[in-house]
Amino acid sequence: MSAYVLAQAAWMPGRADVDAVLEDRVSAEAKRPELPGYPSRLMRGTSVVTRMSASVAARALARSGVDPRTIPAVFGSAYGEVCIAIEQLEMMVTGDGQVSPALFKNSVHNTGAGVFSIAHGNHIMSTSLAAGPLTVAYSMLEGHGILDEGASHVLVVVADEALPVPLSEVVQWESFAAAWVLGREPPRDAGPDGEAGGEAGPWIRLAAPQVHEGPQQVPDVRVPPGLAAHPCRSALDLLAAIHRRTPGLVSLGREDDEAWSIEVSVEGRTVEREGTAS
Amino acid sequence: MEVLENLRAGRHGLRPCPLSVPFEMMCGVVPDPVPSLPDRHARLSVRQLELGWLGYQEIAPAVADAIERFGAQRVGAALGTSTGGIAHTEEAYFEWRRTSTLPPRYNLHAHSFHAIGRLLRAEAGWRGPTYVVSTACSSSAKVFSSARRLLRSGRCDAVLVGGVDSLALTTVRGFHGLSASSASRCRPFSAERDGMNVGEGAAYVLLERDGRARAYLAGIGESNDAFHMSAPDPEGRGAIAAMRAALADAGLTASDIDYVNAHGTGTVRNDVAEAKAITEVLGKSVPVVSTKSYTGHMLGAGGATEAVFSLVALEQQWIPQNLALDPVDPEIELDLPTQPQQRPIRHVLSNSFAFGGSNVTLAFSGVPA
Repeated sequence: MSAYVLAQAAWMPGRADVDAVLEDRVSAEAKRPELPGYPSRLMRGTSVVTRMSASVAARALARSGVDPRTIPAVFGSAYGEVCIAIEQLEMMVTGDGQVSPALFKNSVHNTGAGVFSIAHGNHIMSTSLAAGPLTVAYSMLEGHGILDEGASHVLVVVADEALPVPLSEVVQWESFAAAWVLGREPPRDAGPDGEAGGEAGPWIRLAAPQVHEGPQQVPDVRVPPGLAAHPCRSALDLLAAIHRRTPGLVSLGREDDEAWSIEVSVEGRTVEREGTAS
Repeated sequence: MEVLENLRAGRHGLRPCPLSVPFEMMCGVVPDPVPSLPDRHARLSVRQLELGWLGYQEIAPAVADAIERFGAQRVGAALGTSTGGIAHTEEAYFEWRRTSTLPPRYNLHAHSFHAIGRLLRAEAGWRGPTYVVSTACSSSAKVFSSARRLLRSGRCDAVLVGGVDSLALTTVRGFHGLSASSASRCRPFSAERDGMNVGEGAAYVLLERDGRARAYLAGIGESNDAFHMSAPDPEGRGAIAAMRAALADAGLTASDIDYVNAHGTGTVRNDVAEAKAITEVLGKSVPVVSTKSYTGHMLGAGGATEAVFSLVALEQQWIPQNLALDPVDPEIELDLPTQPQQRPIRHVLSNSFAFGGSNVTLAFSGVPA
């Protein structure tokens, strides 16, 4: 089954949304992710990966018009709460040897999914995945699988925060999160930024991810240096293809002999947008 | 196999925590020595992956057979872990604090959650989708849902599901810090329960879309508590929703269920909330057992381990006994067997609940005679 893109959102430090991430446009106002609808008490002691996941999820959902209480959700991350993991180890070294309960409860890989469900009163279901450099591919695959099972919509979030010292001695990247709201049917209402397309389209449709053999079409995306090695780097290409309404096969990453891609197609009325394909 | 023998014998496998911690705790410990990985995987030879590898050997022939029958591209895996390789990073971090240098042996990939999938994929030779679900203590029950999606969508004809976790300072100290762990053997559903025992290990099940079934995955129910990150909804509403969804998905009613493998951690809050939920959905007369009194709470490996126990119950028409139960919590009105029972078992539910309010109930059915 293919899925319609109702909305997307992204965040990097200093880059508040999709266009800023794609243009690598940094602003001081976007130092921290906005957290609309998340009680500060709930978010206290949460990590960057959880906060940016929560942020992109809320913003994509707001744009889509889909009720956050009733949407199933997939959260993908290669390293999850790695900063809290290291913070806990430091507490073992320097403190009284105890691990803070406040930190520990937020240390699980599904913390982002948990705070999302609590903040929005979502009792439906969520899952949290990890697949290294194929995390975007498998998160999309899981999202399509949930639609296949009959859900009308699904939220797909991918995020990894910058590795903490000393793990950053091995490899480095910047924090980065992206989210998509996918639906079985074309969107009925245009989102504030027009991504959803409205009743007349254009609609962006994603085929189910496929194992890919052969060349992949890579959108002309300026990759911020901090994302070159990021496990969710391929999300950037997908964000760009959707944002620019560029049909084609987009790479969703590779590990060893395994490569995945996703077919992006554009349906319905086409709209000329500056700097975009139509 | 030792675990199943213990289950049959009513014998727990809990031992004093082998990690260096300044408090007492019983744990479900895999006795040393745990074999290292073969030399070709030496860079990945950390305890979590060694346990995952060790547990896999028992099911490896069945996976090889599935690859032979369906082809490598048609076999995949959805595996669960909560700890990943954090124990490996713990050692490296402490050395880094002493020497300002990460040890040469440190391998970030061995820390990562998905390393178990890559390791087993490389070794077994399947080439279908392979990924890891990490939803804390429900991880390796949630994988059944992911695997079923792979089967239903036609991606795979067979999917290996399972889970693995190893003891780590982070989890042992973390649960102690939450006052959720016990210094003695855990006693699920007992009035004298005072916490859980962290456990370790691995368990696997091979699911096929068609074929020579020994039992059926009849239904799956998932829900979010949407209540608290580390405490269950005291009314068990998320658990109720998961169990009801599993029954509906399986086309079963409460009267069809002959046995429940409870999440049953042995913490005060979990057991009373789960008991309320089971009573609400199934009534008071279905036998309920927490096998964590044998294994401890195996976290990311717990769901798959308890799925295996549920399948053994179906196949052998036999349910184990609850251990260290007496006196039963008077607030808990369940049928909690204190002796093993040989009896007809058609359908079983297995509950797994987790931090973040991640709930899943699996419904398994036996092969009709």
